[in-house]
Amino acid sequence: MIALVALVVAAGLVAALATRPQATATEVISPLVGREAPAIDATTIYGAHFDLASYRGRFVVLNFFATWCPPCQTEEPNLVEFAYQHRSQTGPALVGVVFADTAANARAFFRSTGATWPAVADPSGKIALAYGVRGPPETFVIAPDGVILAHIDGPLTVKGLDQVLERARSTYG
Amino acid sequence: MADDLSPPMRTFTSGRRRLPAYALLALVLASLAVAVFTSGSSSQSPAERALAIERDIRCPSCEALSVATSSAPTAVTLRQVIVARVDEGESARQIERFVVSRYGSGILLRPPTSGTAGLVWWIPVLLGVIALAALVSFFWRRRSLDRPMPSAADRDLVGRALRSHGGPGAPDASGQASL
Repeated sequence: MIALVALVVAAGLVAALATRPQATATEVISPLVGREAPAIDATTIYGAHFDLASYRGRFVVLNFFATWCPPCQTEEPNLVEFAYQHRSQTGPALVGVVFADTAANARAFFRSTGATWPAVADPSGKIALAYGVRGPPETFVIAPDGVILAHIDGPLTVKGLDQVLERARSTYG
Repeated sequence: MADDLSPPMRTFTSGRRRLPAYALLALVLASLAVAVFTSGSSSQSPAERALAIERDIRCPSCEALSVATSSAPTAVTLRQVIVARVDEGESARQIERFVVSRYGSGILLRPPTSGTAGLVWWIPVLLGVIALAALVSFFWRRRSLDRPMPSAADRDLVGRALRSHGGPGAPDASGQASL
């Protein structure tokens, strides 16, 4: 009888763990929030020049990712959907930064997921360090004036990102 | 015999004799504190300085490892940045301030000695000084209670007894017994 109860409890535990929702994104306390975003003057994974300053006047969603990171793989379809929904030239711009990964891997990842936004290579890791990134996926929401509004740790969802942007717009008018 | 006649004087003088010892103890403690808080600066090579800083900074993407001991990409990058900044002549405090400005104060394995976090260092020192002072005060008072000061009547009584025996040791005008 005791063995049967133990078996049922164990099965219930396994079922609960297997079906629980995956870790979701949370806003974290960061010393960078409220400060000007560190400059990014680098090369994209396709070899083009990229300057974050050229995005002044638009909200920017700066996403640090890696192809070897399962939460990034989970997040990617959400980012593709978000980019499609906000594809106007005046909408929020999505920018990726490759974290501890190669540009070749990132290009293959973008091709397979249909991602079309610019992604910056960061082979030295200095961009990640400038933003205090610990591990991907991490995302920063940057205001049109270049100030960081939010630092989000974990895989984004379209709804979650829209909520953060809505709050940002209400703050910035 | 004469020595036994003036315990208060002896207590006072022995306390005075201990003052230099207390001063020496305070000096040693202060030197230790200064040594701890200013350790590792001028006599170290740039590589040693960089390593000392790396040991005090937590690897951003791993648990319970310093930047010096981790091979995580973020730790490798931080090591390169620390070495570059040391070469540029930045102090350990300046470099730590930069890292904290990116990752927050939790990135430091050793809390800073200034600001609110500095209380972690100073409160134990303060408590130690208070405890030491309380101990000294306690033993000082207990010693005084164990050896109560003789009253003027006591001195007169002893003086009369000595004079009646005609021997040496009668206290003089200052209360000191002569040998």
